[in-house]
Amino acid sequence: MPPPPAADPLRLALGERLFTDSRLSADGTRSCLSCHDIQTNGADGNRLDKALDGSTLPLNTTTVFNSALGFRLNWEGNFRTLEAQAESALENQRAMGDSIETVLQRLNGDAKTRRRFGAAYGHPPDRATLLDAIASYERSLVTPGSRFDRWLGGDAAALSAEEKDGYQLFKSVGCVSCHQGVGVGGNLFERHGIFHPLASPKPEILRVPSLRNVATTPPYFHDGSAPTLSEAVRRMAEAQLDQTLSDQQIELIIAFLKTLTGTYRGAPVVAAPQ
Amino acid sequence: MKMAPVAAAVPVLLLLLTWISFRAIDTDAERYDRALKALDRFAAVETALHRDVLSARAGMLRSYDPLVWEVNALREALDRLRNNASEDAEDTAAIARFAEAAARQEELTEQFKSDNALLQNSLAHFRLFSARLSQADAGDALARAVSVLSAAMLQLTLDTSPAAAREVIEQLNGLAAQQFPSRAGTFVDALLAHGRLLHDLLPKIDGVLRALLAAPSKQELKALRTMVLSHQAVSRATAREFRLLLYMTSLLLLGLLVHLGMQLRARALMLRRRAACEHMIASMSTRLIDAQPHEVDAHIDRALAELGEHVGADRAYVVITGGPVRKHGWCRDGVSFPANWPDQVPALVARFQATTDGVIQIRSMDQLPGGTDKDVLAAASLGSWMCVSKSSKSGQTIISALTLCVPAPLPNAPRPDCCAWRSTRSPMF
Repeated sequence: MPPPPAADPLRLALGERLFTDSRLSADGTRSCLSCHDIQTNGADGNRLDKALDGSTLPLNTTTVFNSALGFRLNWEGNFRTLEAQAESALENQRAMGDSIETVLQRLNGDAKTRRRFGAAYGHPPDRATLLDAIASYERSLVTPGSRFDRWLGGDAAALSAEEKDGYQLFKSVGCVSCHQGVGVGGNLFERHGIFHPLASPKPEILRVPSLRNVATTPPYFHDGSAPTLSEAVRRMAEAQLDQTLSDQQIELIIAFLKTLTGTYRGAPVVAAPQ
Repeated sequence: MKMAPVAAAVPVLLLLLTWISFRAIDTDAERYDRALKALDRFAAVETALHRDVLSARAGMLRSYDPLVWEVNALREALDRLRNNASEDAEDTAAIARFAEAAARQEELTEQFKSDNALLQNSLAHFRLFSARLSQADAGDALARAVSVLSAAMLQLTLDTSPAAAREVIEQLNGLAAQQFPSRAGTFVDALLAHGRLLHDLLPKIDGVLRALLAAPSKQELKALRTMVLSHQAVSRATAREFRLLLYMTSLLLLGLLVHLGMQLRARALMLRRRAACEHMIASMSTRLIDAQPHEVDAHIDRALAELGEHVGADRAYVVITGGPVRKHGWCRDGVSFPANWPDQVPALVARFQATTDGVIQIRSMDQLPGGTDKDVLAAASLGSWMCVSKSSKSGQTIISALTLCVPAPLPNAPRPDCCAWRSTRSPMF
């Protein structure tokens, strides 16, 4: 896994503050952190999160960890950059629900925030710097140090025999056809329900999610309909590979998937409370 | 020299030179170089993309990350191209066509990735299940059917023609219609499912690959490169023309500078001559003023000699009429006074048109029309002749005349306005 890109520490610190700043939402009740808890798995444990108006959002919240490794963002892959995704989330009436201009007015009304922007960018907050600060911080949210990475790096003892068997099975069953690359996924689109229905039929084509930290990010699938990893593996094998896996095979694959859990700021990524 | 036109001309000239210099620099050169570099980068990345797509199709590339990097690199190259292209309509349209072709290429690449992931997976499963069903305990008929299906599928991986696809679907249908041991059911179902997927995917991916490799971006890239090179050539030619213009302007200015320098030098020489002349006349005047009556003639002779030497004359005379005629003469060593000279001077002065200062100057005898006057002057062996006369108020009687006889035409003879020839300043008059 590549290290996070070099960034100005002042901008990173500013981005982290903004990430937790509830002034970014229309009613001041939520921040990015509300749905993307970086103390746990970079998402939350909910099947589907709530919109500002209390209605249920249509898609499960994806983890912000390692999002910079993906070729697109969100389940539908409808954003190419973190800046574009942040801009959309801020202005989406169901997410943060306010125009960026209004958010900027609020931020500009705070002398401390203006000073922080001034120190990081040389001028008070504007649209570009607001989005850049958030995106710069999000780009830093990578989780290296997984046991699988260590094993790939030459540490033969990093994986147990069972986990290595799980990796072999992961490849032979065909999971690796889509889940490959540095993110173990996250670099192509694929339709779901190739052989059998998988989950909610819409959207038909999804960005293949990264499997990094997958053991810590239940519930699974775009509709959050798989509460456990074993169910997700079983259903994926049936729907996408036309394979009925035995419990033992599922356990082996899960054993491997657990080796993909990395660390953030030195601590292993953990699941969010459900 | 009038200063107003000069003051107006200097800023205009400065602006003109600045403009010419600016146009001569070829400021677009770097922009076109960057655009060409972006096109080169695009072409190189596109080649890498095609190589990796084919590698992925052949199962030699197991990760799609390189394809993602290459697609991103194509987009970056396209952005750089946009940033460095000119804004005229033709270029904008060409880049739009190119971008459209690149977008189509990206779309095909994404399509390929999605389909190829399924294809590679189904190929692996098809191989696995056909191998299991070909084992002896699956039954001879089933093994044969699977073997024939495998052969048809192998053919389809090499040839995705409708005939090969038809053969596969017939074998798949044949296998589905067969009776087989129940223990083989799961494998047969999986083989059929992956076989049908492969039957759909193999021709589809071939189509995607053909479209990707034949994407019009190559033609558009070539057209765009030609356009950029053409613009670059025009830009260079224009800059070259302006450099030539700048060179010619420099030569013109140099010529003007030399001319002005020569004028300045001529003026300086004239001033120096005038100063020397005035100094000489002042000395003469002082001597004549301080002279005793009996010394005057000697001083006049000396003054004549100095004047004659000064202007390079052979002979010099002062003739005073209007009373008893007085004559003073000087001639250079080795030169003699001609006969009847300067007795004829008063008559000559009367015939020639003198300036208001009383100056008559015959620069060259050759310029004189033939006649008595020329004969008289020629008889005195003159190359040129200068005379300053002072007449009475009625202008009828010459009361004094200073005449200088020069042996050859004087191209640089003192001009009549030279103070030395101003009769009003001459102490002798």
